[in-house]
Amino acid sequence: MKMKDMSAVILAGIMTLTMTACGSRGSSSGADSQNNSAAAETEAASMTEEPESTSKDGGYKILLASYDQSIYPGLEQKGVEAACEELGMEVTVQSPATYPDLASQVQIIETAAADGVDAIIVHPVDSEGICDTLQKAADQGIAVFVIDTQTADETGTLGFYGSNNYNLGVEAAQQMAEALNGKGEVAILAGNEAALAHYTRRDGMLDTFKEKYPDISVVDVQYDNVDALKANQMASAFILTYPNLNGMMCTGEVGLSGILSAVDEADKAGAYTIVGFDSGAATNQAIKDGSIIGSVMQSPYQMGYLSAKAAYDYLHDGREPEEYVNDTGLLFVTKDNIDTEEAQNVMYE
Amino acid sequence: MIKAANLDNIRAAVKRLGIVIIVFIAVCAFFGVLLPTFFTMANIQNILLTVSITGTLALGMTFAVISGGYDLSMGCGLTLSGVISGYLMTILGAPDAAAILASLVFGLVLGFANGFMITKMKLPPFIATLGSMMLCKGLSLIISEGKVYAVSASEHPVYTGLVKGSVIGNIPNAIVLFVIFAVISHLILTRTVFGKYVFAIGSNEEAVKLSGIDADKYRIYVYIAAGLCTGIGGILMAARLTSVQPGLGSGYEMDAIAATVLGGTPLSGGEGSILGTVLGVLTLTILLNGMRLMGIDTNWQTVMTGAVVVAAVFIDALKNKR
Repeated sequence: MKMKDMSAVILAGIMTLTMTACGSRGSSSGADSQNNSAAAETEAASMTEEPESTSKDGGYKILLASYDQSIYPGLEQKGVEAACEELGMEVTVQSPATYPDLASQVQIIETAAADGVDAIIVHPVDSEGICDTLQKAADQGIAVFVIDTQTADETGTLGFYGSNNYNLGVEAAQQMAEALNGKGEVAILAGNEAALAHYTRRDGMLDTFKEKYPDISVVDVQYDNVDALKANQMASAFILTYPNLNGMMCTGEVGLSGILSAVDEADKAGAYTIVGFDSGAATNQAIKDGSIIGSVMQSPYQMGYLSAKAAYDYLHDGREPEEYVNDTGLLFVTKDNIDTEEAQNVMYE
Repeated sequence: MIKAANLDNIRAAVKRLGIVIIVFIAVCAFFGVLLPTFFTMANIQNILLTVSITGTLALGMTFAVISGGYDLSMGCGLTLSGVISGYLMTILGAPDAAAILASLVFGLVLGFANGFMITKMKLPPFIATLGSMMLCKGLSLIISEGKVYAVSASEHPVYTGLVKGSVIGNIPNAIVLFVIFAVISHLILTRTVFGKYVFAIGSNEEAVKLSGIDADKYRIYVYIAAGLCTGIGGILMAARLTSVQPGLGSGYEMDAIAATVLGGTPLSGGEGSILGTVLGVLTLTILLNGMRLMGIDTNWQTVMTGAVVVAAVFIDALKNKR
């Protein structure tokens, strides 16, 4: 009886520790390592003041809340950390372990807000669901910046740093159309149907094909929900269902991995024109060996860096960004430009 | 007493197989008639490749369920198994064989840990395997740092060859391997003493213990077997997708349970069959594949799959009440 109780307690303890560890990628960096509770008291005091006239000089606490713990947020983190190094700010990074997990992201932000962060940089899991939480944080006097995926409602946030997702889709479609000489059948794997970034890219693709390339028909659009196995299965279905298919495209790295593995399984290497999205070891390799004509790459590092700098400007000098939407640009990386410095800066493994 | 339990098992298994056979034939006929691409070699190969991976998990789950338990750690365990392989090959530059061995050993260790928690620490299978599931989930992300490892066929021919190579004619190895695993599982369950004890423990653990048999030991073996299946599953998944996705895998244990139950192995334990599970996995995979080819929305696919499982098990239960 006692042994059973004790082991249950031990296991509960292990589970709690594990949940804490895997529920967030926690890391702190910056010039000052402050004691959390002391900082919380100072934050509580400064939170009641006007945001524009905070009396603290530097040493601001930033929370980077991204959508999960994959390599893309890792780059956002690098950008934020670089800015924080320069400006003497302290950054904590917390993201849900799986995607999509809006509930965890909401919790992370609410906890940080209660804890007393000065600014939050968020890459939303869901553009609509996060709005309330961000508004509440803003009401508490926290400076909120959004990166990569715009929120459905701008109120409460001070600025957006990210790619123009619509333009990313346009670029992908244009590259595909040019490679196909303006004619042919294309299928699209559009990631997460509910994620603004994905469906905006999809819209960019569909609109471009409709308006500029009438001889290209989009035969199918499916949603893999960022699941590699589903992506593989859907791409396999494309190959089977559309015998005249010429090209396949996606809105993210996972979609591409599905397309590539499906093409390989069907023994149809080289039969399709494929346009990828984002970077990653497999995508980079695919560009180099020609399995894809290229990939539309964004700059998550810039998103993190610029938003962190904007946070500093706001906290320190009360300056809001000049423009709400700040486009961090895109680069279509192909075999021809992959070795340039420009390309190397946006690529990651 | 054990012999009698076995005979009843066989009779019950045949009765239960009735439903899954009917559903299996039904889905094959339905999609075969509606979709011209359904019975093509390419599609059949696709279905069988998927079955090889999820089916391997289901084989292990069958052992666990017959013994009166289940293993919730299979999904995330599959992910961690893949991550371990990926890490060894990509970061440490280890040879393919070493990565395969490491993932297998991981599976055995995971299985042993589950078995130990359930028998010696007396934790219910739900808690024990839930705990190990979370451990695997967290460790996958910690080790991989969120990175997706690329496992290209050119750089890792042995590893990817496990799935994509063809030792027998044109049949992908993964399918051959799965058939072998299924046959071995069946033989173990039906022809060995261990197998008999698995059924016995599932029907009446107290009686087994009173007979002087070390039920704990055999239960640990059951979970080791399940863990081994998890380890293998991770290897096959990574090889098939030529990449290791640290965020993938969660939920696969549920598919394995669904296939096991659909195949006539009740969660209450004590009866079941490998053949039933194999048919269950085939049926569910065909169902999903057919719906996808028909262009049905992904979310409705999930709803339909759930409905089929519930309906089949319900009808089954009705049949047995008579």
